[in-house]
Amino acid sequence: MSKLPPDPIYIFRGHNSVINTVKILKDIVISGDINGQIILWDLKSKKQILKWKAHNDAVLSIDYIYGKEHIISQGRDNLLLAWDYGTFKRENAKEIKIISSLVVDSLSFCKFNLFQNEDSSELLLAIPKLNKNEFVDIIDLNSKTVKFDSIGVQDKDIKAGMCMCMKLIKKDCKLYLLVGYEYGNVIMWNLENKDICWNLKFHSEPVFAIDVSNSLKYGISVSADNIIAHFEITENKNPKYKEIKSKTCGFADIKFRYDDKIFATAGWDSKIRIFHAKKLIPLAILSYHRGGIQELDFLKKENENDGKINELISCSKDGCLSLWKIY
Amino acid sequence: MVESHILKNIRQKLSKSFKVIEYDIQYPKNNDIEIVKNALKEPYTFFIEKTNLSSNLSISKYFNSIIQNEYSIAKKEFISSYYQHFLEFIIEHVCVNWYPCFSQEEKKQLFENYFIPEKNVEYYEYLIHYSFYIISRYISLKEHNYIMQIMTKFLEKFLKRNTVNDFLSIRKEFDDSIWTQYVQLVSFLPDRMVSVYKLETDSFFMEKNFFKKIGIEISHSLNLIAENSKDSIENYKIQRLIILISKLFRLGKTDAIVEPLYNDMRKRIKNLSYRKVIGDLIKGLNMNELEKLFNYIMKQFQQSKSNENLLKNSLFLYDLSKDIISTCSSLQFLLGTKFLVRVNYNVEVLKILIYFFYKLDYDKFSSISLISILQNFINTWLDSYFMNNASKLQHQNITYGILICLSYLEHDDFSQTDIEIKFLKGVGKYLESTRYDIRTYGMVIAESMSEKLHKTDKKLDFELTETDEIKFLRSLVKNNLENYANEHRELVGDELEENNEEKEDNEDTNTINNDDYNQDQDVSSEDEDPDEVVSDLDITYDNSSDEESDDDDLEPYYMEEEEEITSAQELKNKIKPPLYITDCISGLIADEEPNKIEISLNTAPELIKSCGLNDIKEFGIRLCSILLNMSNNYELDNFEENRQEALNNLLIKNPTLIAPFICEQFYQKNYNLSQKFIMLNTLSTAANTLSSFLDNSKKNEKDEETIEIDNIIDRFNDINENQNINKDESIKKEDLSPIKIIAKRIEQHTRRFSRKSLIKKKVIRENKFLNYAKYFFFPLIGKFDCTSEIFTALNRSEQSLLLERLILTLGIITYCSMNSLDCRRMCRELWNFCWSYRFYETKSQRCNVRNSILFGYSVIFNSLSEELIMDEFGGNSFFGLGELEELYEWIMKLLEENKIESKDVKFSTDILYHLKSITEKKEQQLFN
Repeated sequence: MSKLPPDPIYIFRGHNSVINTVKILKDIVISGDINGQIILWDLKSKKQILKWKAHNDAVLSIDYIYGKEHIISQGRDNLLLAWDYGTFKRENAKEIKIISSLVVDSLSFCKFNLFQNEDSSELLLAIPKLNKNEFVDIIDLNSKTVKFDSIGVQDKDIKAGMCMCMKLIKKDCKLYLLVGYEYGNVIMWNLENKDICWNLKFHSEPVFAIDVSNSLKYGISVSADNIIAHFEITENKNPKYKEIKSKTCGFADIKFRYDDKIFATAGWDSKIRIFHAKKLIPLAILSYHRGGIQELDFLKKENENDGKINELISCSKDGCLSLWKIY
Repeated sequence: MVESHILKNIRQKLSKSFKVIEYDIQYPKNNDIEIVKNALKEPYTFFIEKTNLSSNLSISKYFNSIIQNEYSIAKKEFISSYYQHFLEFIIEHVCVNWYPCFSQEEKKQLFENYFIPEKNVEYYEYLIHYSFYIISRYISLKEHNYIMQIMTKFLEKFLKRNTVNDFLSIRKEFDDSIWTQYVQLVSFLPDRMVSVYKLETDSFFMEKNFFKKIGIEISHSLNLIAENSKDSIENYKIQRLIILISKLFRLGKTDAIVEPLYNDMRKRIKNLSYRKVIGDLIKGLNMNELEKLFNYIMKQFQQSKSNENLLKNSLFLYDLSKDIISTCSSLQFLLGTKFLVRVNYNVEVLKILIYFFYKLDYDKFSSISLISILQNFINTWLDSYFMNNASKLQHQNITYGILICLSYLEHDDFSQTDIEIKFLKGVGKYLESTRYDIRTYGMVIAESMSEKLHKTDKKLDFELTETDEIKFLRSLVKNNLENYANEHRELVGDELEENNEEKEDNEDTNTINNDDYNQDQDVSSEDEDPDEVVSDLDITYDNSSDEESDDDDLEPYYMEEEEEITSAQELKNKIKPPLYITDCISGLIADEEPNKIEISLNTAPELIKSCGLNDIKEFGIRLCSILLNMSNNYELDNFEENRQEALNNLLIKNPTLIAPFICEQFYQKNYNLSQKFIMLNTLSTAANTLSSFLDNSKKNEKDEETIEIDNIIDRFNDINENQNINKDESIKKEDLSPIKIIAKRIEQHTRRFSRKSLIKKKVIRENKFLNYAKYFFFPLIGKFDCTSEIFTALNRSEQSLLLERLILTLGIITYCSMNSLDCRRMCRELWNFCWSYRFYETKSQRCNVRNSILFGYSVIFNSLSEELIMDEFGGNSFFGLGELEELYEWIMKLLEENKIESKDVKFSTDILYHLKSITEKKEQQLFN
């Protein structure tokens, strides 16, 4: 008889409202809610390190620059802020300081995407263009310049609608951008020549999340419908792809684990589903939350000698973060 | 060709002979009894009796024309074609006329033998079928008492001599219809006898005795079939018996039929051929009849108390059904599901049945393995509907069942099943139960189950106080019949050894099956994942080719079966329509569930129509206010129609309660104009329906839209017009539109041969509205105040619209209450109301208040008789006409100023016509 799925190993409680975004690092967890609050949690003691009001409106997304130890947060107040976590940690300070800020367009709910190499010498930020949410700007955060401008399609050429989610990748020294659109299209751009590699309409509803495996071979996308699309990352006009039809509709997020063995989806039905990344079969359904799940994050392996890492964190509309260990 | 020629020839001869015989019997020469006797004697001697007289056909008086070679054919022919007819003939002509004159011996020889032939005669089985048919037919021949008595006497004798088995032995090739006829006759014979003889029915034919006899005969014939089946079983006989048994079961004679059968089975079930016969019988029975048979057996089992009896019964059941249960799915369902889970016998039966399944020892993937039986129990146990609504007895039954099953199962049996998960789910639910007994049952199951599942240390213990019941429950797990059987091997005896051998054989085959199944499972999990849909493009898509080696460590966890929701329609289908008003109310207020609202609203009109009056008394007001306050947020189809119909039905169902409520709501501030229109609509429609002015049935046929005020006014117009046709031709002529003229001409030139279809059938109906009119009218008119906020808050055009509708509604209510006691008072109120608004200037293009005022007056003149109008509105003066005069002047002034629209002309002319006739009457009065 098969085993029962595991229960969460810890529940973080501290937000008073819907948690929009979460990021797990080796020692901390960062989470942001719709009141604009961000909380830093100690992963060992499971206690709050700091809670502060980062934005005047909801926090949409959070990321971490490993090389610089900065936290980046995007709010619906149309600001993208960089916070100096490194100094805060070293000096044991009582509050965290803003290093820089950038005005962005967060009207469309589209979350930013950050591409960083190991030493953060290359830091690229993909963000919807101001006042033109169909297009994407790529900003170099080191030089603070716009590197690629207005990547997108006119509605008359391809009817795709606003961009909903993005993923920047670098494969074989070439930069690519995957964008999920309002009408269900996923388009892969070659940024060097601003060409569309391919455009496929996997979904019938807006695409909510795209992720790419660490081997850069495959991508996955989810939307408000019940399809999980698994596709090949290639310049080829007709990439191979496979669709998994789930029995429930609506996924807010999808993430590969660092070892590309599994991926997880964040369901509106408050369940996390784990899939086998190669066989594409469902492996487990993790249920704890009482509200739809907003975002997921797998812990990354930063050193080779870290041993087995299988932590997964999820945030939900019920105001809780749950930490799991799976496979 | 030759044969048929011979046959024809023989038939001719036989017909001729019988004609002569019949003539001789009917009209014997000199009324000589000897001639009759002789005529009666010959057919029996030659064609029925088994003698060698056949060679002496030539000496026969009547059959001498038949030659020796033709004899056998002639005999057959006699039986198939002439016998029945001859019986009828002698009943009619001999029974009354000659039979009493015969001596005892002659009676038997010459008459009775025809009906009750000797057993040794040829074609005996056919003769009895035919004879049985004739006798039973003549029993109910009420014209002749004597025949009836004789036939009853014969029938009793006949049935005592001929058992079911005699009838059964009719040849296989023979058509089944003769057997069906027999079944029919037998099953209704007692009824027939009772209807003929009433209280004087012979005890032999009393239902109880008769069917008991038939039951014994059936089991006897089964025995005989088994005994004679050394070579091959006579299957057709069993089939025929099945027909008979099924019929009798359906008629409710189960106990009488099964009792002897059951006793026989207990004695003889060890006999192989008997078991086979019974097996065939069981397989042939339908579900319902099978259930009745086994139900009887279970009831017998219920009486066994000691372990010894339980064991014996269980072994009997095992013997009875071990050979057939694997192939007979209905028996599997009956024993495995129905009798165990759904029907409550006592704990003894559970013990017997579960031990029976344990003995069967099918492998765990079979649907009749003990583990599947436990699954059945657990599924029911888990069902939240069962948990909350089942009686204590049902809970007891399921709990006993689970515990007894557990007593036979070992830890290993639970592997590869989801029992543990289901069990964990269920225990949680049961521990939360608010009913003490049920919680206790849940705890005992939890304890025993955890003991079985985890063997040792992790055992649950709720530290329940050991009452007698708990002791008993626990003992169910500890002691089972298997232990008892092991202790008393002498009871099981040889049987056990035999079984063991069989069991070994079974085990071999089981293991093979098991492997097969596992293989199947592997294949399906790899290749046929139901969640996976491969699109057309990716035939070559293969993402598992790389690094296949280290992937297999990811073993899927247990996943609950998720319910697939594919379409909105399916979702809708899952919601059951409400059955009670309370359910309907909760459905209507389910703001976030449009499907629920839609289904509730769709069912509401019919539900309200069919529900009891007490429900309306209790929930009517609430339901009415919910319906009034609903808004179509989800753009549901037919929302307005259903809402209106529901309100109408509600008002019709209980007018005294709902009408004042609606009138009160009409003057509340929190309703908008359209809601007020709905209220007025409801009032007028209900008034119409109650007063039966509108023929709803006709409406349905024509499939018109829902009733609205305008429709009603149109109808009112029609009524008025019809009234006016006879009285004032000149007005009528102006109204005729060109289409009507053409239609009339066509009608004139059409020749009809039958006018029937044109004549409308007038139906007289009671005006139920009369008693309720006051509840509709006075609350509505009484509270009106043009300075109140509900009126002034509206803009001018809306005010006019509302006022127009209000007056129309009041008019309709008044018209519907025609001839009621309150009508005069209502007319007075309406008159005053309309009068005060006669100078109201309409501010809207869409309506005209004046029109409605004229309508109101027209209604008054049509509702009251002229005398009453004179009395009420004619004023006190001897010469004047009081208010009538004022009205006349007002209308004339309107006409002069050309203020009356074309559509108002009808009403004003109607009023003027009435006024004219009143004036004429007054004049007559004055001058006389």
